[in-house]
Amino acid sequence: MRLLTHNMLSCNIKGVTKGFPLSIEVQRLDTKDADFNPDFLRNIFPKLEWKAFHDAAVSIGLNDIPEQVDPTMLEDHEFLQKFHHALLEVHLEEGALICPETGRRFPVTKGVPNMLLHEDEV
Amino acid sequence: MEPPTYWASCATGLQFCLRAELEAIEGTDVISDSLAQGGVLFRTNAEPKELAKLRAADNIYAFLGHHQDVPLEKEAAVEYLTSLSAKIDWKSPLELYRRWKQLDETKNCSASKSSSEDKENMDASSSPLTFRVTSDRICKNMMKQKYTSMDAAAAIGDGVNELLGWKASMRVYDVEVLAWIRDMELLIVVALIYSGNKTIERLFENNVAEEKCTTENLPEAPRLSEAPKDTEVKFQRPSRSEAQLHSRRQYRKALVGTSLKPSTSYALLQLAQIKPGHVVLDPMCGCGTIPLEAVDWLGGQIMSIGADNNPKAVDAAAINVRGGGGRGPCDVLSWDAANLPLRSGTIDRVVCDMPFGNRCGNYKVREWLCPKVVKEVVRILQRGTGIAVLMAQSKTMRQEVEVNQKPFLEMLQHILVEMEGLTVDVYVVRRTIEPPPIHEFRPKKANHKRQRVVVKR
Repeated sequence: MRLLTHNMLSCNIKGVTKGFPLSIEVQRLDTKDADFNPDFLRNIFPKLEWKAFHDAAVSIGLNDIPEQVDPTMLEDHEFLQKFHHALLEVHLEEGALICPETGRRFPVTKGVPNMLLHEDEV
Repeated sequence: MEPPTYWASCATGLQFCLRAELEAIEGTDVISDSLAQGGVLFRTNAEPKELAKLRAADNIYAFLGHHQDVPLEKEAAVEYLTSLSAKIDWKSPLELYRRWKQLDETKNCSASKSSSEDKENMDASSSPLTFRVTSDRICKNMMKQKYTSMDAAAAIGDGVNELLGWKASMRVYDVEVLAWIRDMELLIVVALIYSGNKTIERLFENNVAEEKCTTENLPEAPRLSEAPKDTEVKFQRPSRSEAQLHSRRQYRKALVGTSLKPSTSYALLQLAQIKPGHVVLDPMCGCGTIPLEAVDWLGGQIMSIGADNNPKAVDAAAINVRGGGGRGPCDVLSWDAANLPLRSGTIDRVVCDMPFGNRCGNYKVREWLCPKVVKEVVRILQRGTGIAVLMAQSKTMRQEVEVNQKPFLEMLQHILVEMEGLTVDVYVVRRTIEPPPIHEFRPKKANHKRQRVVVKR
């Protein structure tokens, strides 16, 4: 799972009002090269919740993502490279996602998060 | 000389996509896309290599003939079909067949130098060709069948055998002649890409030679789940899905029972008007054909997400992503599509092939599930710009899309597509600017009765 996907995921257990962002528990990370595409990054940028993205990046050990950004930074090649690496190249292979409100663990195995709920949570 | 005539097949109703793709190839002249069978008839001088890149086509054939006057009575029909081969000009289609076969063989030999291909080469040059006729006859509007597909195949086969002196062979053959008969309309072609016997020989060869060539290296890799276990395989006809144009896609490694054809998923993606920077989601992805086709086509310009609730499907999708999804970012998750764990308004495009037919799930569950998925799709789509392409065959879903969610979904297109004998609805809808309804929390009622919904088509 990439951080981009993490940025959209939210806990959907019945009654939970603040299920975003899920915190990340890391057991194993993996880095895979992906094609660098600045246009994609510029287009995806407004859709991200930047604070959640920054916090997630820090929690998996990527400390070079700035806490505050403004759209002018999207012209900076160096920033885009870092952004690209954190957003698309780092995968959470083994670990878990944890709901901020209920503390429910969603396990991630072989890069696939299991977001299926138990019957009493729907 | 006139360019050779081809027939490219696709799902009925989605020809527009194949047509557009063909028109983009230089020197291609589309003759017709409205025959009874789904596909496009065209003339071109383009190289086979270029045609083999077509995304919207299931398969490519050399065109033999199209007739509108097939008799309905058995005796007259048999006579008509036997004399049919004499009416066909065989020279140019066979020329085409040889060209494609050569191309295929050189490709296979370079990929894996196994003895089976060499043997095939020798066979093709020395002895006369062997052939089989596959026929498919359906009565749509006319009276009940007076003769079967088998009768038709036998009659056409007799004619070919008499005229060209080829030997008929049902299991291992060089040429496959296909004939589709719809009422009085007949389309007859020679398979260029699809030829099942090669797969059989290869499977057999693999067993004998203790799997010298690994199946992963072959362009037409057999399904993982149905890997050959004993020599019995020799007597099985391989599934068509293993030897078609689209089976050459790198990501197609593990399949599930009702995998969507990549050609169809390509057409659905075309309908979604995807732009760079979009996030494309398939909440019920099966083995991941739609999200993987999206990144295979658009590469790193988009991000795609696929998810399913069936562990087998999720495993297959994960294998496919690892195997061939390297062209662009694609993530796989496991979730319940009726209750999506996503923030509202985050997704740009939803392209979803919901389960239909009797091979996947059952009617009752689907009628309950599909509207719930539509509700969730409305919630997660971006307001004002988000587009969803939904493929389903469900009355309650039609009600949901057309009536219940009307303020939130603007219908852009509604297409009827025929797949494997089923007519399926494809809705292309855009999320309106309307803010989402505020759901009040209501405790569950024990005796909540569902209303039966009747929709006029």
